[in-house]
Amino acid sequence: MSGHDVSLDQIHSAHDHHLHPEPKTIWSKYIISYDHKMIAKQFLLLGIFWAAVGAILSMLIRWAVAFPGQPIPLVGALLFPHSNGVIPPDAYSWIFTMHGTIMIFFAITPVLIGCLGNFCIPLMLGARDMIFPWLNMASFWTMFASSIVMFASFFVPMGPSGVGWTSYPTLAHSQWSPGLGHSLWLVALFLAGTSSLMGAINYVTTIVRLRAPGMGYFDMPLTIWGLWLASILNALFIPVLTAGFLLLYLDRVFGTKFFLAAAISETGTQGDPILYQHLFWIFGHPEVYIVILPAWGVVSDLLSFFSRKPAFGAKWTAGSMTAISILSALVYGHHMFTTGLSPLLTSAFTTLTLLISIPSGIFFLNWLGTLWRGSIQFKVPMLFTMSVVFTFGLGGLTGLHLGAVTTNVMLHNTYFVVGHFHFTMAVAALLGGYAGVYFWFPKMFGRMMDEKLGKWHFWLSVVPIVVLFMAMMVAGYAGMHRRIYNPYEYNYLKHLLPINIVASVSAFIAGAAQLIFVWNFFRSMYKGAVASANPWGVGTFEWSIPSPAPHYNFDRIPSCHNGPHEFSNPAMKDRDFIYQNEYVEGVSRKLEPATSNH
Amino acid sequence: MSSPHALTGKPFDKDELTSRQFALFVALASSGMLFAALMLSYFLARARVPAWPPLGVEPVPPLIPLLSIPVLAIISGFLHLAWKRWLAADLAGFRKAWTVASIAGTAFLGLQVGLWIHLSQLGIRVDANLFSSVIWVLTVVHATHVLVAVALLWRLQFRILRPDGVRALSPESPRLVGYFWHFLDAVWIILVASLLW
Repeated sequence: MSGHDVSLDQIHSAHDHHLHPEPKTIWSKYIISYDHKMIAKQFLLLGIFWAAVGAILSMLIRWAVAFPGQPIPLVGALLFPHSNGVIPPDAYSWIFTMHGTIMIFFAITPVLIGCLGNFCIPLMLGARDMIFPWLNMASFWTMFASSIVMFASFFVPMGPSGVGWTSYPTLAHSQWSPGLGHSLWLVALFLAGTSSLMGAINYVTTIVRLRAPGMGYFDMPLTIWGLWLASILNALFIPVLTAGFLLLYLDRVFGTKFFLAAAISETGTQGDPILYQHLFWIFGHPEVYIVILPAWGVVSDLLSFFSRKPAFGAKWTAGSMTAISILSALVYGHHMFTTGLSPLLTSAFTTLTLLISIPSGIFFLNWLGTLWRGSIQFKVPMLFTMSVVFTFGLGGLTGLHLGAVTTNVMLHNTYFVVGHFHFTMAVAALLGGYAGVYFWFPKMFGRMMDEKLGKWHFWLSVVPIVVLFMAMMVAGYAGMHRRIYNPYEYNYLKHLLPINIVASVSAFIAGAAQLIFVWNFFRSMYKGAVASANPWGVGTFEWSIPSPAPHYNFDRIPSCHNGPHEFSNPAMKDRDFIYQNEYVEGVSRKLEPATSNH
Repeated sequence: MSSPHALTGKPFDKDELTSRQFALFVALASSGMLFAALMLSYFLARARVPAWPPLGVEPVPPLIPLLSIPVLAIISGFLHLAWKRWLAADLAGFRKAWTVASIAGTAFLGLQVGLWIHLSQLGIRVDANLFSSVIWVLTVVHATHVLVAVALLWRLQFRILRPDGVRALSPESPRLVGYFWHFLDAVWIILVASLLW
């Protein structure tokens, strides 16, 4: 295949002027690293740390809901000594607030976008690094600074933020949430947003400018499509959230009253708490897709890879993801149906929201079409991939109830909403992240993760997780509101205790199962079976180079002759896939020597 | 087709969309969304009261905001002129035009500080009422961007004083700084028009 590669000398890629020398010291290799692969690993470790914190918090939530008023076994007295190990109401508020915040912004985002984005984009595009390596490094360290601020907020007087991850005023104002906790929360998320913005600019530019010679947009793996669209949404909508956070911070610290209604504003001028909700959800709904798009991309690719079939309707999948990205910017109002939006607006937002089901249906059917009559290999990455199809299907279908104003108003703020969004942006994204980590682990570390432990991890995670969030939706449908410290103080909710115990036990099993992953991950880094260059038999660029990927990735910049899903072509006799940079007579595209995207 | 730029000796094609240029456009789109969100907040707040400024609230004195517009026009004009001189390999002309732009950029920041002092003297403080909060937020966020833009102007200014500094420059740098300023001009004009209207 290398005979058809275009040499670096021929390309004279402008970005190569900025390439960094191979690091020689621990400091330059592991800490202040410009290498996209090392930065990906940094994001991954940071994400795993925060995912562990977020998961522990979720266990505390489930304990409180299933066993209200009872001390937490073993560690309760240590965590809450003043209440004899029982989670007090104020702590319950900060626990669910920090759980949501951490999982979305500090766990899923670093793993799916920070890690997989950094690792996959240059490798799958045939580039030697991100186009702006320095910006890439700055992005990670800004995220690290954000993490320190968020972590510090746990230890300030009056505790961390306890106003919910949505941070709605007026509750989020200093009068009702005094102390440093929520102000630090805002600063941390401002820094996290800055980090994501740096990453987004880098990702978008790299994808547009550094595709290998001959690689058109539809030759890009769908993972890259997902990351690209997520980055565009990040670049456009994070600033909107920043505006909301800035105004809220000024309200808290400088005494402005942007989000205080006239009735409670000292000066009587017309601040408006609903304005914050507009700003939050203009970002917040695209955020759902920012989180899930990379997972969709990974799933779309891995279904093809492990079915040994071309991705069914790959262009339509890419087009559908694009259509959803555009629509995602137009539907935020369905989060605000109960705020008194006009009927005209609610109808418009309902219609636009339900329109999303069309492109969603298209790519979902494409996923099924890819599986249809494939030679499916039930490896661990594929198991997680298929679980995303299942859980996202559940989440997507239950989203219809919340997209339509008629049912939304009834289900608003119930556990049905919590179950729904966990299926879509939490479970599907998390499982997609696991699929990606298991799949690219050999290319990251040059070793394989243990398959048997991976399967234990899979079954002990997915089954309880589905039970957990299904139970939540049932409880929500029965009228159980979210964020209530002790739901059973209300007579009409008392009968929901058993189902909540089932949900909590499921959560504890799923939580414990993550220890299997952690053990497998760290053990395999050092003691896993040595990985070959292409252990999965896949043709995208990264599998044409040794494992782990060497510094600068490619000796020579590869040229692209095929799509990313060239499987089971009869022209191939000795294997069932074709590398993207491989020229096969009668199958592959010829590339003019001058062709370059750089 | 790239050919060596006369002053820096580096390959350069003025018609080519470079990676840094593309990245700048993405960054400006992001920044534009920040201002759009703040403006949306402003207009929603304004739509909820019968009169703007609200009754009994001091209006913004228009002199300094309006005076800032020709200053910005001078900056953009001279940055454009500098770019033309840069393309024509006229280093002396480039230096002159850039110097005027750098001084005018600093003057704009001075005008901003003057505006804030004047506002404070009139009692239009950031926490006084929603009207004054809006003015402070919009002008401070814009000025934060301007501060970065002025830093970029002076950074390049000091580098072009030395011949080796000129050679070390990326040929597209003056254009990128210019784009940033043009963007800030447009934002300021929209901002002033909507605040004074």
